[in-house]
Amino acid sequence: MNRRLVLVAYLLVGLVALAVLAIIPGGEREEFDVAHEFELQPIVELPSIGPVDLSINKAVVYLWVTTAILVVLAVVIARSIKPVPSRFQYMMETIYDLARNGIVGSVMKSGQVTWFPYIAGAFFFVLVSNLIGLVPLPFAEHNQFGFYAATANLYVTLALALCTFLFTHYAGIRKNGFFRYFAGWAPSSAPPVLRQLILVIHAVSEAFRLVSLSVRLFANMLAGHAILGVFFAMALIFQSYLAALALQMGSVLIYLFEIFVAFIQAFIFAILSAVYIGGALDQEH
Amino acid sequence: MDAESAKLLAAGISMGVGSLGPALGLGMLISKALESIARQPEVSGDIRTNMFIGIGVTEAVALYAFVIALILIFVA
Amino acid sequence: MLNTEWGLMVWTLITFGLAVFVLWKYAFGPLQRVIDERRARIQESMDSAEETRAEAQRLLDEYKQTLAQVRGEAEAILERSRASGEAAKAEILAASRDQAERLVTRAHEQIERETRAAVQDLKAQVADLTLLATEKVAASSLSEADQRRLIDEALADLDFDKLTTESNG
Repeated sequence: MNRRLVLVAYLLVGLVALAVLAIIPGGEREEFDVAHEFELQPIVELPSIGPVDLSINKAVVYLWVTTAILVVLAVVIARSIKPVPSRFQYMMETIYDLARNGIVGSVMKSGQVTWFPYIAGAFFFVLVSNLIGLVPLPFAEHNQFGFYAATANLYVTLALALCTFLFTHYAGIRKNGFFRYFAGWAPSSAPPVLRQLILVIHAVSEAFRLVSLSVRLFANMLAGHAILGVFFAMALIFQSYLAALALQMGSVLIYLFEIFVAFIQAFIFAILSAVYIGGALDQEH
Repeated sequence: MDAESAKLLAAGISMGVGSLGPALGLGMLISKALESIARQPEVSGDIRTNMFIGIGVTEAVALYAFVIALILIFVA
Repeated sequence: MLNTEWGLMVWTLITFGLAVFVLWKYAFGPLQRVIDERRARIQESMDSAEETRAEAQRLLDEYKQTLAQVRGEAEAILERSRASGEAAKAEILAASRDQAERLVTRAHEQIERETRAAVQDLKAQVADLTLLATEKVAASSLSEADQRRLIDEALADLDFDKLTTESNG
């Protein structure tokens, strides 16, 4: 009896609170443009060398934060490594093992030792970059806290994909020789005309790998951040505390999903790099 | 219809239609992968790795539509 | 517009390269080494455990073998002692039976001898007594020669053999 009363009281209070939230006017209506969140303004102006403007902007800061975190992790690991692992070391070993056996070991047939540092480095770089994109850092306009990810910028991911692209062909040429590598793009058993066609198609697909690798990562991170931004901003647009409450609850779910996406995208980027490099090393004839 | 609303409409359509195929593809891919894992749990590691590769490739199609939508809204 | 993007790509390459280099030099090597070491140690301890197990198995086999051998030996000893006891028993039995037989035989012989002697004695005494009696009865009605002949005839009628057999039986 007593319990039921308490329950009813809670329910009433909750309903009243919801009604109050629904009735009282929200804050001032603010203009919000999601695209604005992804615009880059130089923070420190630096002289440009030729066409290359080396000004420090938000994306560069995020890149440096990523690198700093990785360097600190590496140094801490190198200093504190023990045969019997601590929890931290065990966690690092697990992620390392994922890169070693889950990505490189399961996909590449040869050249595992040679190419492991690059692929694992890419995995960790993209992973950390994606994850710190979900941490509010004070690099938004007027040093406000905001979400941004270096990998939500097409040029960053394009540079990363370019590395994979160049390393793929470098690996293929070094292993198979220049002419044999390009000849290996098409099956030698095909008739000559068809063979040339296949060569062209393969070249196009190689270029598209570059595009898809960079755009996949970029678009995933951008879409995630855009949805998060829209959820946060809709509270301002609706001008209602009730809507704000519901939207924040939804944004928590999206945030959790974004953590998953950040991990999956880093995994896919690394595993596709491994697939491409492995494919260039062991060509099918 | 003025150019601005046409752009927005096109962006919406490109996103909606462009995500239809990848959504179906992802559903098929993952259902098949889960079926295979249920049938042969001992190679679940390999299947999962390849499933993620397939997800990455399939999902890219939807993201091309997303990029086209962005271009339509902000660039074109 | 294009300027910024080139710069960003250059920054990306710089930071990415630095990160990969530092991870490669400082993190991956030690991690791999420590994992390899641990794997080697586990392998080693597994090997040594296997060795110990094999050793224990070997010892166990050895003990089992020894035990079986000892048991066999004990059985053999038991068998042997049983056999020798049996033999001794048989020997003793045979010896005693022999002796008994010998005693019986000797007793028989003695009895027979004594019987025969008694019979002889009896014969002589009967003859003498008969002679005496006849002498008394007939005095000299008969010559010595006739007397002797008559005695012998009478003695021939008596069956001493029967006496001998009866005493024998």
